[in-house]
Amino acid sequence: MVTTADQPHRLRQTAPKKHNHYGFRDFFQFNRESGTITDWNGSRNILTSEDFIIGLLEGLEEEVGEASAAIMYSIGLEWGKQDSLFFDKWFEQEFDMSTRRANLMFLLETWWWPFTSQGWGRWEVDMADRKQGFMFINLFDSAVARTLGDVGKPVCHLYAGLFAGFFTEMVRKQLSCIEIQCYSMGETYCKFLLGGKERIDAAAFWMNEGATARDIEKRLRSGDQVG
Amino acid sequence: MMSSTLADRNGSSHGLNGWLSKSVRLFFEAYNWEGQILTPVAPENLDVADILGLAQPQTLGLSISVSQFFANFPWEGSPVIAAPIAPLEIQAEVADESSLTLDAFSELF
Repeated sequence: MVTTADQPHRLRQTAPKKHNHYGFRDFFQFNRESGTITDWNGSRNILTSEDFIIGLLEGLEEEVGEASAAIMYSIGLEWGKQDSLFFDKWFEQEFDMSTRRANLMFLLETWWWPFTSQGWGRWEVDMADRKQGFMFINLFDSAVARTLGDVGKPVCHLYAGLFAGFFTEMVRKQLSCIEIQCYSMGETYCKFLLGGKERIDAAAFWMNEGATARDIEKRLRSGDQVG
Repeated sequence: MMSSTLADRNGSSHGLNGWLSKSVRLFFEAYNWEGQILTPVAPENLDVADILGLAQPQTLGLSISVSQFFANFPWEGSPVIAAPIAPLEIQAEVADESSLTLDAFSELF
Protein backbone atom coordinates (compact mmCIF):
# COMPACT_ATOMS: atom_id res chain seq x y z
CA MET A 1 0.00 0.00 0.00
CA VAL A 2 2.86 2.41 0.67
CA THR A 3 5.52 3.46 -1.77
CA THR A 4 8.86 3.46 -0.04
CA ALA A 5 11.82 1.73 -1.66
CA ASP A 6 13.17 -1.12 0.45
CA GLN A 7 14.94 -4.38 -0.29
CA PRO A 8 15.58 -5.21 -3.93
CA HIS A 9 13.25 -7.68 -5.57
CA ARG A 10 15.26 -10.83 -6.10
CA LEU A 11 13.20 -12.28 -8.96
CA ARG A 12 13.46 -9.01 -10.80
CA GLN A 13 17.18 -8.97 -10.36
CA THR A 14 17.53 -12.47 -11.79
CA ALA A 15 14.91 -12.10 -14.54
CA PRO A 16 14.53 -8.38 -15.24
CA LYS A 17 12.72 -8.91 -18.54
CA LYS A 18 10.06 -11.12 -17.05
CA HIS A 19 7.22 -8.73 -17.85
CA ASN A 20 4.64 -11.36 -17.00
CA HIS A 21 5.32 -11.13 -13.31
CA TYR A 22 1.67 -11.28 -12.43
CA GLY A 23 1.67 -14.18 -9.99
CA PHE A 24 1.14 -13.25 -6.37
CA ARG A 25 4.55 -14.61 -5.34
CA ASP A 26 6.22 -13.13 -8.41
CA PHE A 27 4.98 -9.61 -7.85
CA PHE A 28 5.27 -9.55 -4.05
CA GLN A 29 8.45 -10.59 -2.30
CA PHE A 30 7.99 -11.55 1.31
CA ASN A 31 11.18 -10.78 3.24
CA ARG A 32 10.86 -12.98 6.29
CA GLU A 33 14.06 -11.80 7.94
CA SER A 34 13.00 -8.17 8.00
CA GLY A 35 9.26 -8.71 8.04
CA THR A 36 8.78 -6.54 4.98
CA ILE A 37 7.06 -6.98 1.65
CA THR A 38 8.63 -5.58 -1.51
CA ASP A 39 6.93 -5.52 -4.88
CA TRP A 40 8.40 -5.88 -8.34
CA ASN A 41 8.74 -2.11 -8.74
CA GLY A 42 10.72 -1.72 -5.55
CA SER A 43 7.91 -0.39 -3.38
CA ARG A 44 7.47 -1.48 0.16
CA ASN A 45 3.97 -2.81 0.78
CA ILE A 46 1.97 -3.24 3.94
CA LEU A 47 -0.93 -5.61 4.43
CA THR A 48 -3.87 -4.04 6.21
CA SER A 49 -7.39 -5.07 6.99
CA GLU A 50 -10.65 -3.25 6.52
CA ASP A 51 -10.30 -2.00 10.09
CA PHE A 52 -7.53 0.25 8.91
CA ILE A 53 -9.76 1.85 6.30
CA ILE A 54 -12.62 2.23 8.74
CA GLY A 55 -10.32 3.67 11.39
CA LEU A 56 -8.82 6.15 8.98
CA LEU A 57 -12.08 7.38 7.53
CA GLU A 58 -14.22 7.38 10.62
CA GLY A 59 -11.46 8.83 12.74
CA LEU A 60 -11.01 11.63 10.26
CA GLU A 61 -14.73 12.26 10.11
CA GLU A 62 -14.84 12.49 13.88
CA GLU A 63 -12.09 15.09 13.85
CA VAL A 64 -13.13 17.31 10.96
CA GLY A 65 -16.67 16.28 10.06
CA GLU A 66 -17.68 16.79 6.44
CA ALA A 67 -14.27 18.18 5.58
CA SER A 68 -13.02 14.58 5.70
CA ALA A 69 -14.08 14.15 2.05
CA ALA A 70 -11.93 17.09 0.97
CA ILE A 71 -9.02 15.85 3.05
CA MET A 72 -9.19 12.36 1.58
CA TYR A 73 -9.31 13.92 -1.89
CA SER A 74 -6.23 16.00 -1.08
CA ILE A 75 -4.39 12.95 0.22
CA GLY A 76 -5.28 11.09 -2.97
CA LEU A 77 -4.21 14.07 -5.08
CA GLU A 78 -0.75 14.15 -3.55
CA TRP A 79 -0.49 10.37 -3.75
CA GLY A 80 -1.40 10.45 -7.44
CA LYS A 81 1.19 13.12 -8.17
CA GLN A 82 3.95 11.29 -6.33
CA ASP A 83 2.97 7.98 -7.84
CA SER A 84 3.09 9.36 -11.36
CA LEU A 85 6.73 10.35 -10.83
CA PHE A 86 7.47 6.91 -9.42
CA PHE A 87 5.59 5.29 -12.29
CA ASP A 88 7.52 7.32 -14.86
CA LYS A 89 10.74 5.80 -13.57
CA TRP A 90 9.66 2.18 -13.21
CA PHE A 91 7.84 2.11 -16.51
CA GLU A 92 10.94 3.27 -18.33
CA GLN A 93 13.03 0.78 -16.40
CA GLU A 94 10.66 -2.05 -17.23
CA PHE A 95 10.08 -1.37 -20.91
CA ASP A 96 13.11 0.77 -21.96
CA MET A 97 10.66 3.33 -23.22
CA SER A 98 9.50 6.73 -22.06
CA THR A 99 5.91 6.98 -20.87
CA ARG A 100 5.35 9.72 -23.40
CA ARG A 101 6.06 7.41 -26.31
CA ALA A 102 4.02 4.46 -25.13
CA ASN A 103 0.58 3.47 -26.30
CA LEU A 104 -1.81 5.20 -23.93
CA MET A 105 -4.06 2.27 -23.06
CA PHE A 106 -1.08 0.05 -22.48
CA LEU A 107 0.44 2.74 -20.28
CA LEU A 108 -2.68 3.18 -18.20
CA GLU A 109 -3.28 -0.52 -17.72
CA THR A 110 0.37 -0.95 -16.72
CA TRP A 111 0.01 1.81 -14.14
CA TRP A 112 -3.17 0.45 -12.65
CA TRP A 113 -2.33 -3.23 -12.62
CA PRO A 114 -0.22 -3.05 -9.42
CA PHE A 115 -3.12 -1.28 -7.74
CA THR A 116 -5.37 -4.19 -8.65
CA SER A 117 -2.87 -6.66 -7.28
CA GLN A 118 -2.67 -4.65 -4.06
CA GLY A 119 -6.45 -4.87 -3.62
CA TRP A 120 -7.54 -1.43 -4.72
CA GLY A 121 -9.98 -2.86 -7.27
CA ARG A 122 -10.24 -3.28 -11.02
CA TRP A 123 -10.87 -0.40 -13.31
CA GLU A 124 -12.06 0.42 -16.78
CA VAL A 125 -11.16 3.62 -18.55
CA ASP A 126 -13.86 5.08 -20.77
CA MET A 127 -12.34 7.53 -23.20
CA ALA A 128 -15.27 7.74 -25.58
CA ASP A 129 -15.71 11.43 -24.71
CA ARG A 130 -12.05 12.41 -24.70
CA LYS A 131 -12.54 14.76 -27.64
CA GLN A 132 -14.88 16.78 -25.47
CA GLY A 133 -12.20 17.03 -22.81
CA PHE A 134 -13.45 14.60 -20.21
CA MET A 135 -13.40 10.90 -19.52
CA PHE A 136 -14.92 8.40 -17.15
CA ILE A 137 -13.25 5.79 -15.02
CA ASN A 138 -15.26 2.85 -13.77
CA LEU A 139 -14.00 1.17 -10.64
CA PHE A 140 -15.00 -2.30 -9.50
CA ASP A 141 -14.44 -3.58 -5.97
CA SER A 142 -13.38 -0.28 -4.45
CA ALA A 143 -11.55 -1.09 -1.22
CA VAL A 144 -13.11 1.91 0.50
CA ALA A 145 -16.67 1.44 -0.71
CA ARG A 146 -16.86 -2.28 -0.04
CA THR A 147 -15.46 -1.71 3.42
CA LEU A 148 -17.96 0.98 4.35
CA GLY A 149 -20.89 -0.64 2.61
CA ASP A 150 -24.05 1.19 1.62
CA VAL A 151 -23.92 4.51 3.45
CA GLY A 152 -25.95 6.48 0.94
CA LYS A 153 -23.20 8.80 -0.29
CA PRO A 154 -20.00 8.62 -2.38
CA VAL A 155 -17.01 7.64 -0.28
CA CYS A 156 -14.17 7.04 -2.73
CA HIS A 157 -12.66 10.51 -2.43
CA LEU A 158 -9.21 9.02 -2.04
CA TYR A 159 -9.56 7.42 -5.48
CA ALA A 160 -10.91 10.62 -7.02
CA GLY A 161 -7.86 12.46 -5.73
CA LEU A 162 -5.56 9.70 -6.90
CA PHE A 163 -6.91 9.86 -10.45
CA ALA A 164 -6.82 13.65 -10.47
CA GLY A 165 -3.23 13.73 -9.22
CA PHE A 166 -1.96 11.06 -11.56
CA PHE A 167 -3.62 12.36 -14.70
CA THR A 168 -2.70 15.95 -13.89
CA GLU A 169 0.97 14.95 -13.94
CA MET A 170 0.61 12.76 -17.00
CA VAL A 171 -1.37 15.26 -19.01
CA ARG A 172 0.56 18.25 -17.58
CA LYS A 173 -2.64 20.18 -17.09
CA GLN A 174 -4.64 20.82 -13.96
CA LEU A 175 -7.37 18.19 -13.86
CA SER A 176 -9.96 17.37 -11.27
CA CYS A 177 -11.98 14.30 -10.60
CA ILE A 178 -15.25 13.56 -8.89
CA GLU A 179 -17.05 10.37 -8.06
CA ILE A 180 -20.50 10.49 -9.62
CA GLN A 181 -21.64 7.01 -8.73
CA CYS A 182 -20.60 4.83 -5.85
CA TYR A 183 -21.02 1.29 -4.56
CA SER A 184 -21.72 2.91 -1.21
CA MET A 185 -24.81 4.47 -2.75
CA GLY A 186 -26.20 1.09 -3.69
CA GLU A 187 -24.73 0.98 -7.19
CA THR A 188 -22.87 -2.05 -8.52
CA TYR A 189 -19.69 -0.14 -9.26
CA CYS A 190 -18.13 3.28 -8.82
CA LYS A 191 -17.86 5.83 -11.59
CA PHE A 192 -15.57 8.82 -11.74
CA LEU A 193 -15.54 11.82 -14.02
CA LEU A 194 -12.14 13.28 -14.88
CA GLY A 195 -11.70 16.61 -16.60
CA GLY A 196 -10.99 20.29 -16.19
CA LYS A 197 -11.96 22.05 -12.97
CA GLU A 198 -14.95 23.86 -14.48
CA ARG A 199 -16.48 20.69 -15.77
CA ILE A 200 -15.98 18.89 -12.47
CA ASP A 201 -17.45 21.82 -10.57
CA ALA A 202 -20.46 21.68 -12.88
CA ALA A 203 -20.86 17.98 -12.21
CA ALA A 204 -20.59 18.59 -8.46
CA PHE A 205 -23.30 21.20 -8.69
CA TRP A 206 -25.60 18.86 -10.61
CA MET A 207 -24.98 16.12 -8.09
CA ASN A 208 -25.96 18.43 -5.27
CA GLU A 209 -29.14 19.16 -7.17
CA GLY A 210 -29.88 15.45 -7.23
CA ALA A 211 -28.64 14.47 -10.68
CA THR A 212 -27.70 10.82 -11.19
CA ALA A 213 -24.57 9.63 -12.96
CA ARG A 214 -26.63 9.05 -16.06
CA ASP A 215 -28.03 12.60 -15.93
CA ILE A 216 -24.53 13.99 -15.60
CA GLU A 217 -23.26 11.93 -18.53
CA LYS A 218 -26.13 13.16 -20.67
CA ARG A 219 -25.58 16.77 -19.76
CA LEU A 220 -21.88 16.62 -20.40
CA ARG A 221 -22.31 14.97 -23.75
CA SER A 222 -24.85 17.56 -24.79
CA GLY A 223 -22.47 20.34 -23.77
CA ASP A 224 -24.45 21.66 -20.82
CA GLN A 225 -22.74 24.25 -18.65
CA VAL A 226 -23.71 25.63 -15.29
CA GLY A 227 -25.15 29.16 -15.27
CA MET B 1 -66.02 10.43 -35.95
CA MET B 2 -63.24 7.95 -36.79
CA SER B 3 -64.40 4.47 -37.65
CA SER B 4 -62.71 1.64 -35.82
CA THR B 5 -63.51 -0.97 -38.43
CA LEU B 6 -61.17 -1.93 -41.22
CA ALA B 7 -61.94 -2.56 -44.84
CA ASP B 8 -61.90 -6.20 -45.92
CA ARG B 9 -58.78 -7.34 -47.71
CA ASN B 10 -58.40 -9.88 -50.42
CA GLY B 11 -56.49 -12.97 -49.50
CA SER B 12 -55.17 -13.63 -46.03
CA SER B 13 -56.04 -10.94 -43.56
CA HIS B 14 -55.31 -12.78 -40.34
CA GLY B 15 -52.09 -10.87 -39.82
CA LEU B 16 -53.60 -7.40 -40.08
CA ASN B 17 -56.58 -8.20 -37.90
CA GLY B 18 -54.38 -10.34 -35.60
CA TRP B 19 -52.60 -7.42 -33.96
CA LEU B 20 -55.82 -5.58 -33.31
CA SER B 21 -57.19 -8.43 -31.32
CA LYS B 22 -54.07 -8.78 -29.17
CA SER B 23 -53.80 -7.42 -25.68
CA VAL B 24 -51.34 -4.56 -25.13
CA ARG B 25 -49.00 -6.97 -23.39
CA LEU B 26 -48.99 -9.47 -26.26
CA PHE B 27 -48.59 -6.67 -28.76
CA PHE B 28 -45.40 -5.39 -27.18
CA GLU B 29 -44.11 -8.88 -26.40
CA ALA B 30 -43.98 -9.60 -30.11
CA TYR B 31 -41.25 -7.03 -30.71
CA ASN B 32 -37.69 -8.24 -31.14
CA TRP B 33 -36.51 -6.26 -28.11
CA GLU B 34 -33.35 -8.28 -27.62
CA GLY B 35 -32.24 -8.20 -31.24
CA GLN B 36 -32.38 -11.96 -31.72
CA ILE B 37 -31.61 -13.17 -35.21
CA LEU B 38 -34.86 -13.82 -37.02
CA THR B 39 -35.35 -16.67 -39.47
CA PRO B 40 -35.42 -15.00 -42.89
CA VAL B 41 -38.76 -15.47 -44.65
CA ALA B 42 -39.21 -15.34 -48.41
CA PRO B 43 -40.91 -12.07 -49.41
CA GLU B 44 -43.91 -13.80 -50.96
CA ASN B 45 -44.65 -15.43 -47.62
CA LEU B 46 -44.59 -12.23 -45.59
CA ASP B 47 -47.84 -10.61 -44.59
CA VAL B 48 -48.36 -7.11 -43.23
CA ALA B 49 -47.87 -8.25 -39.67
CA ASP B 50 -44.53 -9.80 -40.55
CA ILE B 51 -43.40 -6.66 -42.36
CA LEU B 52 -44.43 -4.49 -39.45
CA GLY B 53 -42.56 -6.81 -37.11
CA LEU B 54 -45.70 -7.71 -35.25
CA ALA B 55 -45.60 -11.43 -35.82
CA GLN B 56 -44.12 -13.70 -33.20
CA PRO B 57 -40.35 -13.60 -33.79
CA GLN B 58 -38.62 -16.84 -34.66
CA THR B 59 -35.03 -17.45 -33.80
CA LEU B 60 -32.36 -19.04 -35.93
CA GLY B 61 -31.77 -21.38 -33.06
CA LEU B 62 -28.87 -23.68 -32.47
CA SER B 63 -31.16 -26.67 -32.13
CA ILE B 64 -31.97 -26.87 -35.82
CA SER B 65 -29.88 -28.99 -38.18
CA VAL B 66 -26.93 -27.50 -40.03
CA SER B 67 -28.70 -27.93 -43.37
CA GLN B 68 -31.80 -26.15 -42.07
CA PHE B 69 -29.69 -23.36 -40.59
CA PHE B 70 -27.85 -22.64 -43.81
CA ALA B 71 -30.93 -23.20 -45.94
CA ASN B 72 -32.52 -20.20 -44.24
CA PHE B 73 -29.99 -17.80 -45.67
CA PRO B 74 -31.11 -15.91 -48.80
CA TRP B 75 -28.05 -17.00 -50.77
CA GLU B 76 -29.51 -16.11 -54.18
CA GLY B 77 -31.44 -12.93 -53.55
CA SER B 78 -31.15 -9.75 -51.51
CA PRO B 79 -31.43 -10.17 -47.75
CA VAL B 80 -34.89 -9.97 -46.18
CA ILE B 81 -33.70 -7.82 -43.32
CA ALA B 82 -32.06 -4.48 -43.92
CA ALA B 83 -28.32 -4.60 -44.17
CA PRO B 84 -26.79 -2.89 -41.15
CA ILE B 85 -25.06 0.43 -41.76
CA ALA B 86 -21.34 -0.14 -41.48
CA PRO B 87 -20.13 1.83 -38.44
CA LEU B 88 -17.11 3.30 -40.21
CA GLU B 89 -16.86 6.23 -37.85
CA ILE B 90 -16.94 4.02 -34.79
CA GLN B 91 -14.17 1.86 -36.18
CA ALA B 92 -12.10 4.94 -36.81
CA GLU B 93 -12.71 5.94 -33.18
CA VAL B 94 -11.53 2.56 -31.97
CA ALA B 95 -8.43 2.81 -34.14
CA ASP B 96 -7.74 6.28 -32.73
CA GLU B 97 -8.06 5.16 -29.14
CA SER B 98 -5.90 2.12 -29.65
CA SER B 99 -3.07 4.13 -31.17
CA LEU B 100 -3.29 7.11 -28.81
CA THR B 101 -0.16 8.27 -27.04
CA LEU B 102 0.09 10.33 -23.89
CA ASP B 103 1.02 13.50 -25.78
CA ALA B 104 -1.96 13.20 -28.12
CA PHE B 105 -4.20 12.45 -25.16
CA SER B 106 -2.90 15.52 -23.32
CA GLU B 107 -3.94 17.75 -26.21
CA LEU B 108 -7.57 16.83 -25.65
CA PHE B 109 -7.84 18.54 -22.27
